[in-house]
Amino acid sequence: MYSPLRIDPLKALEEIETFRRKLAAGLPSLRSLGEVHFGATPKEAVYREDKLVLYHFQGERKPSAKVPLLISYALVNTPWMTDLQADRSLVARLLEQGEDVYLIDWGYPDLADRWLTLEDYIEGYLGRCIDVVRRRHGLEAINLLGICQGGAFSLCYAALHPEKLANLITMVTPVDFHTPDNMLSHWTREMDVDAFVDSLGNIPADLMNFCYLTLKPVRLNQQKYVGLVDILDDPKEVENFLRMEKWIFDSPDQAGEAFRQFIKDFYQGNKLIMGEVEIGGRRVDLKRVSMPVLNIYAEQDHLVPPSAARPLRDHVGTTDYTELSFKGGHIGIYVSSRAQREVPGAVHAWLAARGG
Amino acid sequence: MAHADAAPGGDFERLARQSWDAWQGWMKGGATAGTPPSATASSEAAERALAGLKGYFTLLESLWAGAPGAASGGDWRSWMNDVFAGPAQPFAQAFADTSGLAGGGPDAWMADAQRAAAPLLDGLRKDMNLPTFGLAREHQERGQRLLLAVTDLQQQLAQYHALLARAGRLAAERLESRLAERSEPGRQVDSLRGLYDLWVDAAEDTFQEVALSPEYRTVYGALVNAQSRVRAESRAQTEVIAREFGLPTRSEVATLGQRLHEVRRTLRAQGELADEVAALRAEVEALKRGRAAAAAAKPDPAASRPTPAGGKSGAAMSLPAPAAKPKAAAGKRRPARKNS
Repeated sequence: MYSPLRIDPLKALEEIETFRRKLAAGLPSLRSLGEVHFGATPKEAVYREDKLVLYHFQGERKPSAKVPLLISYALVNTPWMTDLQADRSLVARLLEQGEDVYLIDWGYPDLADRWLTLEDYIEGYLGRCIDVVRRRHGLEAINLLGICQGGAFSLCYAALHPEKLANLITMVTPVDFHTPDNMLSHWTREMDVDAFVDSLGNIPADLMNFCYLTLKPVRLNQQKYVGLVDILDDPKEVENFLRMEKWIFDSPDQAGEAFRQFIKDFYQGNKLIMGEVEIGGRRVDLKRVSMPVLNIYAEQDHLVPPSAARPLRDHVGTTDYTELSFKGGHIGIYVSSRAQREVPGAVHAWLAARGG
Repeated sequence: MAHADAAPGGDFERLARQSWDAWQGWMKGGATAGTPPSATASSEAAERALAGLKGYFTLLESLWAGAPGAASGGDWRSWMNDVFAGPAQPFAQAFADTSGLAGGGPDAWMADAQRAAAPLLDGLRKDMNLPTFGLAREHQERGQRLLLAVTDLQQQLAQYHALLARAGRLAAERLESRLAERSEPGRQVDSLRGLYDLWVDAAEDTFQEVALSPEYRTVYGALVNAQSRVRAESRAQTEVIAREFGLPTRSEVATLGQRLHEVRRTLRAQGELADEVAALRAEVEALKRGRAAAAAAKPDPAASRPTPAGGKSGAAMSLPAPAAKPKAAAGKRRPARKNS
């Protein structure tokens, strides 16, 4: 029987020295990198309301798609994960495929937005953006791509206004919030959300980020930065790392009332699949989602586990339901090289087959 | 140290000390040769990286301090237990590092809450359980509630820490068990980084189980709720003071915001109603024009038929039943319509 550890002290010392040397050599260049930016693809603001901006992206060629595609991102974090940098951009790849892409930037709520409700977001902001795009293109119905919480919003809208959507795509969208592996949901169950929101007003981004980091505490708080030292001698990789850091931590606060309703009705009550969510006094019945639906989920998603996303198939009313499983995580589905190869092409092919 | 004589010339400890001194000097911003001039990095990312790396180096240092000889049959279980399940266990440290940085963590929050509440709580502690009377009774009760809330938060935070500490010990056990599976040659761990990565996997897998347990859910919920109570009570206290100084309070601003949003919703609904009425009027006008045009194109039957005395010609206008909504269709053109 041997010891499982064969760590030679000299080699270990060398390992530490090498690590320290790389760190010492790399940090000055880290400081010289300056600011990083995201939002790589040219775009035009076509509609503004309060802090929201609706963007229309401009590809290098004219779109071949007949129906425009509107992307509705989550309220947590900014939507620029979809257009992080030129070679990691869902938006850019969709444009290359011939799609005509719009995106909602919800903005950064402050205390003036504390009373915004889910109705304000779904029937109001999202609905008016959809109407703007419909009007610009003279169409009865457009395509909608909802991401994460934005996917849940899209499902609500699709159930309330099925006539305005030609096709619906949901990406990493939670539908059943009570599956046993959904850690976020688990943690909210015994929270007094009323006391939480009443005492905070808006929910600070730092608090949200702390919660997300503690889903994988050692990996996200420590191991990731140990790994950073390995790439410090590669300015391009460091820049990519910093860009991702900026995206993660440059995140908006959450409007208090909308947060209260979302946690209560979706996370705690799991009302979406029970048909009990009410938006503006109208019940959201997923059976009314009658347009074709493409549901894309990530197999290693720690925020929205596949078990939370896949039940959509059992609850929507459409007879044209497609599921796409992606080998990656909640963020990798937008920025990994595999995602660049697989996701936009799949979305475009699915839409094209449905006249989009 | 068990490995002190493993290095050539027997100066292993000196080398190790130099390495750690350099690192610590760098961390403290010292200008040791070959190190950056300051550890106070300007960018947020660098600061965060330093915090994470500090935990990593602390762990390596702990490993180093107790390492048995290389490839020895030393007591590796005891070593692992000392490092990963001991009082300075690295798992809880990973939380503590983040807690201080993110601003949303419970430890940093507790420290802030205690600091903010301290002036309000002085003098209240000894009267915490006394009934209150007279003119100041409401003020005194508010103070008591805040004190109780802070005390409760301390208890909830202690429960949370205890749970994290247990998760750390379970992670250490899991690491030991996984290491035991790698005893045969070729599968042994031969680097500190390899050991670290193995521990991270064990820690995350263990935390997954703990964090999904009913106990964690209860402890976490109680902690968050205790924070909310402290926040609410300290704000109530602050608002009393603000009012005395004639300053607007958060509650007043919230009330204004709520009323403003209600007015906005009402106005928007009225605007949408007005648009709908305008659209309906336009449709009615179009129908009227259509009927008038149709009537003008036909010969007048009244000219060849007698009209009853006192009667009116023609029928009362009635609107046709509304047409069914067009079915959603990709690419289907719709007529341009204002405010659709």
